[in-house]
Amino acid sequence: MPSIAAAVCRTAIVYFYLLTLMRLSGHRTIGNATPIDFVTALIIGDMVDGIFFNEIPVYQGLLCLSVVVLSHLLVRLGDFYFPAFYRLLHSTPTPFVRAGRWLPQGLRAERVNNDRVRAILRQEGHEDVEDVAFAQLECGGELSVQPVDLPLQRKDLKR
Amino acid sequence: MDLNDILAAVGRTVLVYVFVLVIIRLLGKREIGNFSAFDFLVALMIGEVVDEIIYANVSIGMGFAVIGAIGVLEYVNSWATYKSKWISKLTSGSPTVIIERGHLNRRGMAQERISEEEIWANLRMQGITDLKEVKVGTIETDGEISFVKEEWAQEATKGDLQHARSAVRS
Repeated sequence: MPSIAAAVCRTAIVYFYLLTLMRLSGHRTIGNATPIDFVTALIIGDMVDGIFFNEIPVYQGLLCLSVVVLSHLLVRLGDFYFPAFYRLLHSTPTPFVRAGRWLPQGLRAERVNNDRVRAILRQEGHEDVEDVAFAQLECGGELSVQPVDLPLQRKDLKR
Repeated sequence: MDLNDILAAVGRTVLVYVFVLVIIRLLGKREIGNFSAFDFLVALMIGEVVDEIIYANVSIGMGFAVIGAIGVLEYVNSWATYKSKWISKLTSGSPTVIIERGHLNRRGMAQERISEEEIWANLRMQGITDLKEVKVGTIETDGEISFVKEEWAQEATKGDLQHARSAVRS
């Protein structure tokens, strides 16, 4: 029984410690915005159970968690202050479609075939590439799409 | 590994699965549906505890106690955030403005350490190609970026069309 109570205490300590770390390091530090954020979150998730079940001492676990968060924070700072570092780490967006035409070199570079892209375009309501002015794969792995025929805006009616 | 071991592992797996299902259900929609970065971490934590129980590295009682503790902490945290604006600010911070009236807000960007390229990627994903269209761009407390467009750049509605028609007629 006392060991269960101790495990609950360790869980609470880790919970509040992580809450504090996340709060101090900013809103977007760890999440799923970019692949690196995602992996960092997985690493942290994987580290905590060792502390819960007393496989490693609490202080050591907290120290290692801090080091992971701090490293990630440094990467984030590098991202912000050095655009070259950002491009190195996250690469640059890859265009797939320009003016209704496929760009085969972009598809090849990302190893995506055009059926996959068509599926995404359909989900956004475009029948085929002819309707698309421009589509590119962003660094987070999402496709940004701009249709040839843009939706009506309020200013269009005011003329 | 004999048959009993296998059956025991299957039994533990089912038990843990049902237990986690109950915990998540009790926590409600907010925690799991609308992930903030921290809620995401909490979900990962639960996932890591589960495999220790399934492979009998820890006793079921111990594992359930830990998952239960995580659930209670999440509940208390969300309840406190709901009850008190002060605690909400303390644990989740406040939104940061990064675009104002079509211009990048450098101070907000530095505060959140978001680069111009990242903002542009987000704008493109929401179909915005001109910064002027954005009235306010905000990094919300869950890390999502929201853009509110200027009145003229907003999507025209059926009501707008009606106004335009009656203006043409008169």
